[in-house]
Amino acid sequence: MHRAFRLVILVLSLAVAASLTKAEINRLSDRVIFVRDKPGSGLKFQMIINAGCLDEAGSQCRGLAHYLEHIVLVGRNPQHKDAAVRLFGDGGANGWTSERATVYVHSAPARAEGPRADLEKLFEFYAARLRDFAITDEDAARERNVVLQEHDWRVQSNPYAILARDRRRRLLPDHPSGQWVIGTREDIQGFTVEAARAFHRNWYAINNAWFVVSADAEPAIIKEIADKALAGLPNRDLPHRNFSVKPALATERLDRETSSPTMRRAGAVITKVVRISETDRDRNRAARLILGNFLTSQLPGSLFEEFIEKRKLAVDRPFASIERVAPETFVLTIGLNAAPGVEPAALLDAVVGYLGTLPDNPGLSDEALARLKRRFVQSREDIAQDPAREYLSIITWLANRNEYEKYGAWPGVVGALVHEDVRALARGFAAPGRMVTDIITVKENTP
Amino acid sequence: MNRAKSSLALALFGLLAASGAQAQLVVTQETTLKGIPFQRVHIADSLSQSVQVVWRDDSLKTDPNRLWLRLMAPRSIAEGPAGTTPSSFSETLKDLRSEFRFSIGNTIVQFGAQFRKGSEGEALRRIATVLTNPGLSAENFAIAQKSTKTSLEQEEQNGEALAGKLLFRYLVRDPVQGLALQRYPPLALKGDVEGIRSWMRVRLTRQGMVVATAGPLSVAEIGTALDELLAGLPVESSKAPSPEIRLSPSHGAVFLQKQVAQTVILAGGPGTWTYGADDVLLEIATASLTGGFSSRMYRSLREKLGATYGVRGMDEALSDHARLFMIRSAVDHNRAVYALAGLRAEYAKWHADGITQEELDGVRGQLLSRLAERVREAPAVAGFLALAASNGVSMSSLDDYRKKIEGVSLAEINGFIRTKLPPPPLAIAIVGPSPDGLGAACAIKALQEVSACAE
Repeated sequence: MHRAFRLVILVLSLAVAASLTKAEINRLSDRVIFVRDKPGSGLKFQMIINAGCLDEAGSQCRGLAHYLEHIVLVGRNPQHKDAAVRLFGDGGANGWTSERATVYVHSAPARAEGPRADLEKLFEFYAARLRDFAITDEDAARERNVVLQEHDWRVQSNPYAILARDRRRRLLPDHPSGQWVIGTREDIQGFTVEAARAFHRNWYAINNAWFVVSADAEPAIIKEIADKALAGLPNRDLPHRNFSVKPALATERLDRETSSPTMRRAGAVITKVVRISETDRDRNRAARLILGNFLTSQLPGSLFEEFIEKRKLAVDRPFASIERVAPETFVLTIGLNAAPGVEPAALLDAVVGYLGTLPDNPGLSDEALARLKRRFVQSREDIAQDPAREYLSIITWLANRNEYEKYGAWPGVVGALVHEDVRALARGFAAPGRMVTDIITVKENTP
Repeated sequence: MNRAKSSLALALFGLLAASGAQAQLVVTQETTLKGIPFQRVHIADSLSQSVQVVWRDDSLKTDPNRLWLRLMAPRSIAEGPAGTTPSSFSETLKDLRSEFRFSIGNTIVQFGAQFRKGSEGEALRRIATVLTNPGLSAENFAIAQKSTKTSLEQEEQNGEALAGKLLFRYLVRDPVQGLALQRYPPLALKGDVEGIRSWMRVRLTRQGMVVATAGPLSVAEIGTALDELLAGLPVESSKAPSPEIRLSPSHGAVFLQKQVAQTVILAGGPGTWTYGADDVLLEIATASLTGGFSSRMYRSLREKLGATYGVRGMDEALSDHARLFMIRSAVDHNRAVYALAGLRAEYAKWHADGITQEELDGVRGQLLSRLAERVREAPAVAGFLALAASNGVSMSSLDDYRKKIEGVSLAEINGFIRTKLPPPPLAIAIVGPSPDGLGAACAIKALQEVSACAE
């Protein structure tokens, strides 16, 4: 606790000094977005490659995109003496990879002379990385083991994570959306630099990248630096996206019961993939947002209110998510920890029943939907007043491969949602589909 | 190196210049009409107003008869006031764009409320009753107790959590305190809602309460809000005495055999820093050792050996008077021997020689950048002020603290590392499948066997 609060010490004056005004967003070129930050703010820079593990070769999401992210950040290239994670001794650097994107993240402190020198370095470095990358065999092998350790730390150390990964594969056995971004131990051990280079050749192109920058600087300066560095980078034809292939979808239900000495928390998880027509993708996306917010809320009829507060079948916070895993193909996942004394199988039955009657859930009322829409629109208004939050919001939007042109209109789309949009989505999830469930039981005498 | 120094100096100049225009952002000491003293930072254009309240209590972490309070009270209090359901309370606050948080740390109890200007009346009336008339449903409490016990049992399946418990048990030899420190699952089943109510009556009181605010409300407005929120609390407090904790000066290694995904190494020892006065130095020291891609341990364990994904440095207050400095890494089983040797060697060198000017400059810049992002909103400002005040640090201006950061010299930070952080060799707790080659003087198969490892 002490340490967490000490972290806020250093720059209080700066933070408080900043005045809240409407964030100024500038699209400086086709691929460069600039959010002007408050006076005295440092530099923030992210390069988004719109390719993640779903885009790996052979429709297999094995974690290669993530491995490439690592080796780009630790490799040594002509543009820098040290690894990219240390481009600035007094700055920050990192990266992350998702199903749809690989993102490189940098920051540097505010400098009296402005961010020009730092930005030139960053744009020069990443313009070069759109062309190629270098890594020694020794560094690549070492980093492969680092990725393996990351996997073991994030996944292998958590029996519930292992179960969830396996559940996902059972749900979508023939589609890369059924695999996890980090891959499996076996996948990681098989990574090669050649395979990473092939992925790089396919997807690291200027027309598949975004640069999002935030600083206290004139937009013209940022534009000048970006234009100079990115000039001459050719657009490339991108390969076919694996995402666009709809997975086979048999209507069936696969149940599994698991018990392990390492799992002391009983519970039930249901995950279901369905086909839902999406004549208007934007409205569908908005409906997913609102239905997801309803499920994770504590409003009447929500999972919390129903299973924890009223029926006392579950404890802690429920988990719920809705994903679009391919065109017209959606996955709903609900997870609940069983309350003491409640049989996980009974909890699962109750959740299945809840899902089956979701379209008729009285909690999905006009009033509830209006509350949820209002909250979202208000939160967007808050974000629009804070350049730091706006910057991150744009990055999230682009990294999910949404069209930049639709970013500004998004709150309006959510605000215009009608009751039937959400009901239609709920009907889709209640309809027959492919359902995979897990119940986790705990034997009391397990040591 | 020269360029780095130059850049840092310019960066600091830039920051100073930026804040120089905001000299009006001072911390003022105020008192409400009902006599509640508080610190205030006025942020005219902040979207929300924040109130943060801190009470000190270091008696819960190491007392097996009171640990349940630490585990259960935040969860029960979060359910909201009497006369409403947890869900209804939570959703109403969301509609009001307000929230409250209640937490119990190792040595402090913290309450925070955040609300919009204009809706403070209704929001605060509701939040205030959380403290003065909490719901504390006995039925929900009983369910939550069992659930918490299950969570603690689950915790024992995790190598990192187990290593922490092992090191505590190894260094804190009092078996009663050790039971609490290892978060022995049945301890969650002690206590009841009346116990929470009694503790709140004597601990969450106006006496000993530190209050800080940040946001757009005027002095009069925030004063009225604080009276609404806090004036109804009992006046007199009663605090359990600070526990006496004897930390073993052990330098040995203890090994717990368990089939875990990675071998977890946790090194640690008692430190003598003072929270509040030494915060900046501790932060710089920790960051230089484990804080990122330029840190000593990152370079040694990840970049050189490829043995781990990450290394984490931690400080932990066991009480107001006892604290531990620790370094933890989950490493490849096959490289654990090298990782342990690397960790020991790197720590010994760092402790003896200290850090370089380049490292100091780099860490300083990183902290400035990172922290600038974390403190863009009122709750973080108020939280910082409240915690600093509870640690005996008072400020007349927010710039005071920043100047302190800027003034840290190489001699000062290296002196701090040498004198306030534990000298090598550190005690080591290891959790893994095999003790082979790790040099542990004591290898056990269950946590409770640790008493056999006393030197």
